[in-house]
Amino acid sequence: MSDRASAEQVLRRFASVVQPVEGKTGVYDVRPEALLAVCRALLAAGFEYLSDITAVDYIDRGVFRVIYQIGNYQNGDIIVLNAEIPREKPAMVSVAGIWRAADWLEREVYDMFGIIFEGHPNLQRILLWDGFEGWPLRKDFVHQPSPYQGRRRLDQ
Amino acid sequence: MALKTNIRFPQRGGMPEGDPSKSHELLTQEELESRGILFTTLDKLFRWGTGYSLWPMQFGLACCAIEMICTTQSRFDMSRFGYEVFRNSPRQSDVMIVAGTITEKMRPAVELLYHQMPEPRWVIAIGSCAISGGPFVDSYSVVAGADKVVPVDVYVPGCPPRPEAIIDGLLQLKAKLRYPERKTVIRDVR
Ligand code: SF4
Repeated sequence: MSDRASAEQVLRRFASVVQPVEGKTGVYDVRPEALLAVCRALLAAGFEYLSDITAVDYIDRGVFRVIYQIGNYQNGDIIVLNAEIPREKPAMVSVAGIWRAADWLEREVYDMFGIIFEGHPNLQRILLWDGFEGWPLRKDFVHQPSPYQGRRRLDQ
Repeated sequence: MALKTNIRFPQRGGMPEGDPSKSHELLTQEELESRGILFTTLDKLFRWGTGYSLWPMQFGLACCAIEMICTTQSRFDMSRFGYEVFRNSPRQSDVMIVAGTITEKMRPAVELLYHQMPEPRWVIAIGSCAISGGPFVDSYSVVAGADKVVPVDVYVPGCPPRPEAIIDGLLQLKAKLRYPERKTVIRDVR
């Protein structure tokens, strides 16, 4: 692992919207409205590899945290960007125009959390079938089992 | 099977005491066969042949499929028993090995594949996922067992079952074909 100097250099220019998370190396909090600009600058600095997008439901704080893991092939840097959006209005800007890999990753996050990625070319369910009701990885999801699902009871 | 004999055998396959020419009607069909007298119907002959050349469908759903693949390879070698002809098309196969988790999204496909297989056809459910949903039974997307979708003939428990167990499952299917009237597990099927 290198010293992440390349990421520091880029992110220093966005000091008003990007804060490093205390106690963690290479993890940054980003304001969601600035995400697109930060990502463009990171790509220009050699961060060509979007390895994952995922999300966490912090239901007690009323936010979704969308997490981006971005890598740099040249020097081996990997950084993590956290962006928090309100649960009531789960809309996020899509980075599919910057990294093609974001296409399916954002579809998966949409599938599991119902986060709308604005500007995504084809925002549909990817893992679950069409017609699935609800967003299963949200903490307040209540599962309605189909006739094919559910535990078998031996006494029935 | 229902016929009872009062002749005691010194050992299985041995000659009965008394007059052999009169004793045949007292023996069951299996006992006659063990003495080398083939007394068959076309259906029974057909099932005997099928039991030695089941053609499974090449069809895996999750981690258990890896064990099924292992079973066909040289270390465990399913072809010793005549079951190595894995077919890619359901129309050419007569055994569906449900190896893995059936998800709700996959359920229509499993059902369709089963109905595309020509009769007679059999289903073996491998692993706890295919038996009952396994560790994922409470999940939002997993079907609680293959028998909710298709009729299952043989269940092979395990997570995943060892290749030996999968071979044993196929041998149990062979036993079921040979002796459909028996209800218990049979160990020595010839
Ligand atoms: S039974 Fe175990 S090994 Fe088999 S598919 Fe399910 S989880 Fe995987």
